[in-house]
Amino acid sequence: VCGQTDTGLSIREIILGMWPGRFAPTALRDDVSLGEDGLGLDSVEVVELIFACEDRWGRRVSEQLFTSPALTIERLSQEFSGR
Amino acid sequence: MRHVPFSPRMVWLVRHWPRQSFVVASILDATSRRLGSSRHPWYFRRRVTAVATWHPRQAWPFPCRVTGADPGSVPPPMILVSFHFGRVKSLGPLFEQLPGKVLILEHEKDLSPPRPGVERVTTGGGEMARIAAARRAADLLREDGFVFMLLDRGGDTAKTPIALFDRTFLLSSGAFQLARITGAPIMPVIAEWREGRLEIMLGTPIAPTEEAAMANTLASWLEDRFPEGDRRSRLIRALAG
Repeated sequence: VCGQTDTGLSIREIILGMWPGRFAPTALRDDVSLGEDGLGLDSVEVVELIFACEDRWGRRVSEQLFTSPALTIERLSQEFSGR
Repeated sequence: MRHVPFSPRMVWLVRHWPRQSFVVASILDATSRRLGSSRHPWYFRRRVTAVATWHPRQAWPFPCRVTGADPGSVPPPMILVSFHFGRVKSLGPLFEQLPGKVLILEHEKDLSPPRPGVERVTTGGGEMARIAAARRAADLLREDGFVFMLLDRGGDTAKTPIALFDRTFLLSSGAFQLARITGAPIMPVIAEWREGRLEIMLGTPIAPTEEAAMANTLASWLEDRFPEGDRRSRLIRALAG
């Protein structure tokens, strides 16, 4: 289960808040893909999540985020925690 | 719309050597791209003989009429949607007149030739490409821009069912979801060649709400504009993929 960092925990809370009842908390692991191979969010839902995270931390994600092979909670957490 | 003169020599050339018209097409294509004109090479190759014969004195590119609304007064932000139907590849005259930046989301880069002021983003490069494209579209809509996309043949994208002409079709959900998260309305657009000119029909903006409700409103608009007949059959074939 995600929970290694405060940022990761916050992202998990955001996901559970945006789509209540859709995911079991245990499914929100750090390394699970947000997309079709993991949580099953479609592209606009991922963008919606990114917007929510940007509002939470007050800054935009970098363009490099979109060149990743897959978007995971860990990758998103690194983006907002500056690691 | 910018006009490029169609010279008598060119008319003669195409009329007498229609099979060689691809050479002319290449020359004119290069010229018109430089001038930012509005037609598509494919369209030119298929229609140039007819256009030259019917309208030897008409300026090039082809005559165009926009109905339903004045493109210059379409309020941004707006999501323009259409289908693989009619002359959807010839929407350049519309994009030129919209009062704001325009982004075309396309599965592959085959929808529109490069145009000044129009950005194109491809969504066919996998999941991350779709996410990046959706992000760019949402950003532009938040900046009061225009996004154009086709709702049919969306590949692996999420689908929204739409009840239309007593059948159920699956359309890409992207436009409906973008409308929901950005608050931008959806405007259906149909482009057809009618009575010797391109006719672009702009629909009534559909307010952002639940996906199913927006799909129903779109279906009502299409059913009104496509009474039974050949046009409806062609649209059904396009939607059925």
